[in-house]
Amino acid sequence: MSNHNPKPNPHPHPHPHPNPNPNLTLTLTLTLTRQPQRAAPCTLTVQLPAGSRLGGMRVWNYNKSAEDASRGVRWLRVELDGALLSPARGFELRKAPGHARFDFGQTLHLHPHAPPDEPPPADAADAAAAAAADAVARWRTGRGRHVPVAQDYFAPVHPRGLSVRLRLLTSWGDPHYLGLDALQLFGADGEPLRVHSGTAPPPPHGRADRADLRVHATPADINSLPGVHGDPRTVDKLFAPAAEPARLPPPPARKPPADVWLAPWQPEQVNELYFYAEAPVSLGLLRVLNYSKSCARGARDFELLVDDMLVYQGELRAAAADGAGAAWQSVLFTDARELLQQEAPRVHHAKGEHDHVLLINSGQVVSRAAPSPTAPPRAQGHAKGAADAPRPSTAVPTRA
Amino acid sequence: MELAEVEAPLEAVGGAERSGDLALGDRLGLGDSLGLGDSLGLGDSLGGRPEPGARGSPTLGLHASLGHTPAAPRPKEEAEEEEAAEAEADDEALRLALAELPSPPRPSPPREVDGLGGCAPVEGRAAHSAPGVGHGAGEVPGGGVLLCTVLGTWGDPHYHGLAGLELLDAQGAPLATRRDQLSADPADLNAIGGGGSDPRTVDKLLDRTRVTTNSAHMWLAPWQPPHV
Repeated sequence: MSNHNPKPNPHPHPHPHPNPNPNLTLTLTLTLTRQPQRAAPCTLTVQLPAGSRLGGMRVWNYNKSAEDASRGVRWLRVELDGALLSPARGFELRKAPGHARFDFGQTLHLHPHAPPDEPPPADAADAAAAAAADAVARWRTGRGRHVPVAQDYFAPVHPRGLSVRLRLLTSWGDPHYLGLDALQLFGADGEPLRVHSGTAPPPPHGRADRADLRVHATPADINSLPGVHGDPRTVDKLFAPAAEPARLPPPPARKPPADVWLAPWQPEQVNELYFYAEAPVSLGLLRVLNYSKSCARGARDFELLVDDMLVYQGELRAAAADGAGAAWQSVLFTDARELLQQEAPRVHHAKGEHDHVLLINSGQVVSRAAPSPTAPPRAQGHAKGAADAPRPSTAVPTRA
Repeated sequence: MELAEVEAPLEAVGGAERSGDLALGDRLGLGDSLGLGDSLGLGDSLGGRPEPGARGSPTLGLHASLGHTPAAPRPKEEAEEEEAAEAEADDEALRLALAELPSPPRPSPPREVDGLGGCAPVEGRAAHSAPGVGHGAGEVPGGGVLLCTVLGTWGDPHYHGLAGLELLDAQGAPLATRRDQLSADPADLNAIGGGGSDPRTVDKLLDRTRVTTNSAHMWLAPWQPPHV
């Protein structure tokens, strides 16, 4: 049925009218014959010595490029001598990042799963996965749950995935550096997601079901600049001290200037924090403390992607220039009433500050919003010329 | 596993609207069961998902196989981007079409206890406390044939692959695996023509180069969604 061939078809369809058509059946049969149904699923088999004891598997997904990462395996069912060692719908494998700047291997813990004819805890995870995928699908069509608070983005509730990418697009004016003071990530239950910055897998700890993330920053920090060594502002500082549960307010004090993260940046560059997990995590809340030692080096426009799907796009508030306390900003992915009430004052809605908005109801002006006179121009345009100047050096006193 | 409690409200919200999506999910389950020659049984793949679905409906089965029978031949490996997008669009259309179909009543899945004859009895089926690799002994599975079944890709309808695979023993230490222990079906792209020159064979999973973007150190094979 090609529309591209300009020549008339020398063999027009013999039955253009919708009468009973014997050729329809014929066509179907031909199609099915030409594409024989594959009886066996795609499998990988490892022949082991009988009685081998297996604790786990490590897998690295297909990683030829960011696009080709879609060829990576997502669902992998594992059986040993016929006994199920994965959830019935398979382990969910993380999509590869499309680059090789960090070890993206994923460890799968093999242990007996109840066969699916008994409703076991393992299948509850299956159901949760199915429900989460379905919730996201409905959110994309506007029918699903969304966060009932005005934010810069119409955010889904509890986005779930194996990777979370925080992409920092612009600074608040500085053309050379971009940083953050602190980050806190919380799961759908309001418990903090622990973040490890090392390359080794997270150490085992008491609760095997507690979610852990690892993080890789691109660029890592300002020590990646030539001639810079030993600057303490590395990415692990973002997550210290460890976050309390979300129901407790964030620490009110500013962080010491050495306990933050700073990385080289230039206009058009995207600095990225790539969080990755061994098993899917659900995101309920993100709290950010912007870079405060020099406000212009704070991050401004950002995006958040879960499993490479955009779930938020907005602006971070610049840190206050004076010596005020820590100005945390919250990005909400929850519809839990108590958490909403607690965090709503920390939500930043940039649209209201930068656009002229006049709300009129029955001829009465309900609200009026004008651009804030203090809002500087977008960092990228502002920084264009200055980016050509040599990068100034930066340092903080290292603590004893 | 830790998400089971957390996501419970989401599941509750799903409700009847989900039948369309479930039908797609069921398709996977059904195809696998057929492919495995009933070693798991039809109902087994669907266990634990009590929502009404479209399983067993001949109408849906027809739609599904049509939707996933590629009308065009498998694209060349290097130039399939548009095709992939089309196929995704088809998938979306299929999903919508399925969502509009009424969900026929579905008999309760048969409890095929005997269908598991091929499975060795599993000790300690309460899998709530998964031992992490390297700490705690607990239930460390033992056996001889490890079978990994690919049930889905991250979106590509034609190919699937991995960059590396390593087995870990009960203590979490790497287990030496030789090339002749590892096989795949389908083996690689050379199984579908191409002159046998594609380097992305399954033995590349075992080479030590995993953190790379060089596909010569990876494995790639044709993939086809399991059919109803």
